[in-house]
Amino acid sequence: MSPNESVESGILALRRGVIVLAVLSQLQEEQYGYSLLKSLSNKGLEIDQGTLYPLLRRLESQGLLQSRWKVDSDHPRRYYVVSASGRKAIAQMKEDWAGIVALMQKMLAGDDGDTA
Amino acid sequence: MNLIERYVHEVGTHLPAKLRSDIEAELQSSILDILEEKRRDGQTVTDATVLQVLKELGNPAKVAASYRPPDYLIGPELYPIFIKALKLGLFVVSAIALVVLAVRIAIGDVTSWGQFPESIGTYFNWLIAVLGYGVVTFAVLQRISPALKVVSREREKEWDPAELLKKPDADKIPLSSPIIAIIFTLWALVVFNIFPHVVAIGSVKDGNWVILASLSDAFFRLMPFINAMWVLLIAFHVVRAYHGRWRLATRWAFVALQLFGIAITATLLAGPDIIKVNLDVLNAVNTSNVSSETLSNSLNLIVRAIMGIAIAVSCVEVGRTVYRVFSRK
Repeated sequence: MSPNESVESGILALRRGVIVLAVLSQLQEEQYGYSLLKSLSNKGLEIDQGTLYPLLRRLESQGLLQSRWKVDSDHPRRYYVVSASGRKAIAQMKEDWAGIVALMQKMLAGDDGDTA
Repeated sequence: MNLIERYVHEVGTHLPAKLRSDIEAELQSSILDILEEKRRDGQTVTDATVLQVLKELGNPAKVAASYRPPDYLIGPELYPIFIKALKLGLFVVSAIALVVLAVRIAIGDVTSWGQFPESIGTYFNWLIAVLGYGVVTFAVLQRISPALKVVSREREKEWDPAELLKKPDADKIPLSSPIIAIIFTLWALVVFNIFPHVVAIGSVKDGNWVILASLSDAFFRLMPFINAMWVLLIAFHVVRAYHGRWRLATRWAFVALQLFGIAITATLLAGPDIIKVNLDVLNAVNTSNVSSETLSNSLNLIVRAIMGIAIAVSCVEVGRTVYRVFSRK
C-alpha cells in the first residue's frame, strides 16, 4: 500500500467511525433514506447510497431505529426514526464523542503532557 | 418490466429470499426519489437519465453484497479447529496409505518403482477426499449455531494473565479436542454403517478393482455394540465441550466408556478373525514367495496385536483416571 493509499484508508476509517452517530443524530425526526442522504450531504457529510441503506437496516435490526412504509408522494417510502434505545445510544455516543474530540485535540496539539 | 424494475430484480437475485422483497422495495423507492429530485431540478427524465442513475448505483451484485452480512463457509471461530482436524485427518490417511502400501509390497502386488505413481495417485485421491469431507463437515458446523456459541463462549470467558503463573490446569479441556473427536466419531458411524465396503484393502487386477481383505462377519456381529459406544462417545464429548473442564462425573463416564471399549475389543480379540481375506483373489495377485494363507494369518495377527495394544492403552487410561479421581479426594 502506497503512503497516499494509507492516508486515504485512514481517512475512510475515520469517516466510517462517525457515520453511525451522524445518522442517528439526524433521525430524531422521521426521514426516508434519500432525504437523509441529502440532509447529510447538505451538512457536508457525503455518504454513498450503498453504505447508508444497509446501515439503516442494520441499525433497525439492532433496535436503535424503527421504520414504517408511508405513501406521501407518487410512490411509497420507508421512513426511519430513532427508537427509545436509539435515543439512549445517542446520548452515550455523544458523551464518548466529546471525550474523543477533547483527547484528540490535546494529542494533536502536542499538549498531552508527554513532552518534556 | 421497465429498466428500474429490471435493475431491482437483478439486485434481488443476489439476495437471500427472506430479505429480497423488502430490500427490492426500498431500492426501487430510493431510485424513484433520485429521479424525482432530477425532475424538481428541471431536468427531463429519459431512459438515458435512468441508465445514468443505475450506473452510478453500481453493479447489482455489488449493491446486493452491501446488504448481506459477512457469510463464511468456515468462519474465523471454527477455522483453527478445522486446520487441526484436517492435519489429524491427513496424518491418519497417510498412515493408512503406508500400511496399505506395505501390505501390497508384502504380497508382491507392488514390485517395481513403475507402480508407485498409481499408489501416489490413490493417496492423493484420499487426501482430496479428506479435504472435501472436512470442508463439508465444518461448513455444516458453521451453520449449526450452538457449535458457534460454544466456541464464542469459550473465547469470551474472562481471562486472567495471572493464570499463566499457575501450574497448567489438568482439568481444562481445549475445545478443539471434543469437537475433533465428535467429527471423527461421526465419520466412523457413517462409514461403518452406510459404506462398510470402503473399509477394505484392494488391488487392480486386469483393469478391475478387486477386494483383497475386508472386515469379517465376526466384526459386524458386534456392530450394534460398537454403534452404541460411538453414540455414547459423541454424547460424552458434547458434554465435555459444553463444560470445558473435566468433572468428576465426566471422569467416571470416561472410565465407563473405556471399559465398554475394552469389553468390545476383548470380545473381538477372543473371537474369530475380523479380517476376511479373499484367498482366491490373493492367490491370483500374490507373486511373493510367501503363501497367501501365511499372509492372511500374518495380517490377522497384526490386527490382533493392534487390538491388544489398544486394550493395554485403555487399561492404562482407566488406571490413570481412577488414580486422579481418588488422589483428589
